[in-house]
Formats: sequence, C-alpha cells, structure tokens
Amino acid sequence: MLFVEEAAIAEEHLAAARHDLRNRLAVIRGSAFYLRRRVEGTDLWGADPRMAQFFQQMESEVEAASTLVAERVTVVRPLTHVIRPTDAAECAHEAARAARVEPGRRVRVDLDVERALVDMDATELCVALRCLVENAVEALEDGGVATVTVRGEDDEVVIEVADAGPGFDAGMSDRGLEPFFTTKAGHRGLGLNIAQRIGRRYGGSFEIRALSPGACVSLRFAASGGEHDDSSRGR
Amino acid sequence: MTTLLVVDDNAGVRLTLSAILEDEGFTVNAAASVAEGRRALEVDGADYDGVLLDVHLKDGLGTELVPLIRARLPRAKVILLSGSAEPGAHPCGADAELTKAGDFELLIAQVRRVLAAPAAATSDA
Repeated sequence: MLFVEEAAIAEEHLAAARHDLRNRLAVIRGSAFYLRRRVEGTDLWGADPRMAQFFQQMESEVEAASTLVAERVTVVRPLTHVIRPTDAAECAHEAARAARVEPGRRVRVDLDVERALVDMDATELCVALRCLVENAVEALEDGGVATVTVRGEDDEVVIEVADAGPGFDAGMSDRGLEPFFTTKAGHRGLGLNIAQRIGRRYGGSFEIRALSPGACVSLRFAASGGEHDDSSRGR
Repeated sequence: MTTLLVVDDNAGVRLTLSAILEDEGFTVNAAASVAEGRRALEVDGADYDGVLLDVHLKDGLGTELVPLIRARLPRAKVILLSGSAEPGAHPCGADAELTKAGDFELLIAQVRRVLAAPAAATSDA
C-alpha cells in the first residue's frame, strides 16, 4: 500500500481519537464543575480542606490533558489534501486491491460507469472505501464475496459496499459508527466511523441498510463537472 | 421559564450539560441524534428558546436541523457545540458556535448572552 494511504489512515485514527478524547474530557470537566457547585458551601466542603484541592486537581489535569491532545495532533499532522476530480471507480479498484482480505474470501468490483468523477482528495476517498471493504470482508464467512458497486445516479455518484455477513442487530448500525466500538476481537472499531467522517467532509451522505442476509453501506457524492487528471494518484 | 433543547450523541455530554443548565434555572430537554432532535422539534406544542446542537452526530450533522428550527421556531436561538469553536465563526445559519470542552462558567455566560440578544443580531460567542 502507498505510504500516503497508511499515513491517511493514521491521521483518521488520530482525528477520531482526538474527537473522542475531547468529548470524554468535556464530560469529566463538566461533571467536576457540577459536583463542585453542589458541594461548595456544604458542611462537607468546610470540614475537609482537601475537597477544594481535589476539585482544583481534576480541573488542572483535564486542562493539561486537553492541551496535550491539541498539541500532539498539530505536531503529527503530515498530509496535505488536494481536492480535484477523482475517479471513484479507480479508487474502488485500488481499495479492493489494498484491503486486507483473508484467504478464502474475495472482493468483487462492479462498475456501472467507466468513470465516476467526484471532487475529493483521491487518497481520502481510497481510504474511506478501503475501510468499508475491510469491514465488509471481515463480516464474511469463508468463501464469501464482498461487492463494491459504483454507479451514476442523476447528478450523483453512488458507491456501495455490500456483504452477506450477519448484518447489524437492531441498534448496532448506530453503535458501529461510534469510534472504537467493535464486536470483533483485535479490531479498533474505526472503519465505519472513518468512512462516514470522510464522506461528510466532502458533503456526501452515508447510509447503512440491512440486506437479507448481510448489510450494505453506501456513500453518495455530487458528481464532479471537472476533468480527471490521471497523474493525480502518483503521490 | 427559558426552555432549551440539547442535541448531542454523547450520553455523558447530555447529562452534564443538562444538569448544569438546569442548575442555572433553564428547563432542558435532550435528544441523542438528528432524528430524535427532529422529533422533539416537530412534536405538537414544541417551544424552545434555544437549541444547542452538537455538530457531528451519529446519524448526520446537527446543522441539518437549523432550517427546521428556523421554520418552526423563528425566535429560537441556535447554538452549535463543538470540541474547539473558532471565535466568531457562526456557520450554517447558527447564532453562535461555542466549545463544550472549555470553561463551563464561560459557556453558561455565553449561552445567556446569545439567548438575550435580539433575533438575527447575535454577534458574540
């Protein structure tokens, strides 16, 4: 796989971790704020001078952790994204080639169009599709096939990744989008979340629907009116 | 009584924000998704003075609710909540963008200021 794609995946993992950590730190900070106001001025507060110290400690540690998260992200952000007309069909093939696929399982790419241009950074689109493909392949049983379909629909490009795995239980499709949520041992639980975030970043829509059996995840983008540059994937 | 709707997909954020704002005398309803937020806004008799919207929700963007809020509750203030708001940035037709990861005293003061500002003239966040 290209270094830039590995770097882009690392960047997405970092962004997801950053978002998740910020939320968790906000919850801790808010909880401390609420509790402090509730106990300040009570007998308990007056009887133990360390109460104020402990609350001060919680607040300063959260502040330090928040600063650390922001600094780390700034330091390691290595990539520049270039938005240009990008062929979703080409990215679908590349994602199928680059995806980790266990022996006995396969990925098929079905194209309804020769070219399907969208205005995106090519590496980011490939990363999003690779995440979806790997997520679909992991759901398969031995001998199973995951299918990537690219088609034009009115003024849009639709990319669908389908599998015939167990699908999502009720409520699980929502949870599957949470960063770091996974039911698979040894996985980080970021694939769907990364694909969704990349899709939204470019104004696309993201949808999960149940198949019988299996599941289908689709990304939908406005079609580009520009010209495709074949040299754009050489970075 | 000032009534607020908090839309955030993080249960901890919903709990803490609701508790802190209720402590301040607001009546708070909470929703966990775009779909839940839409239902809360469309229910008969729904009347909010302000809606606090997390930007990234599991089923879409909080900003998708802005047109519905403007149509149904033209006097309600729309406040976007983000991890790190840029001062002065009010995207997608919102009245303000505030950070939920900072000082809560400041957040409360900012919410009060936005709610008190005349409609369509809010400029501080």
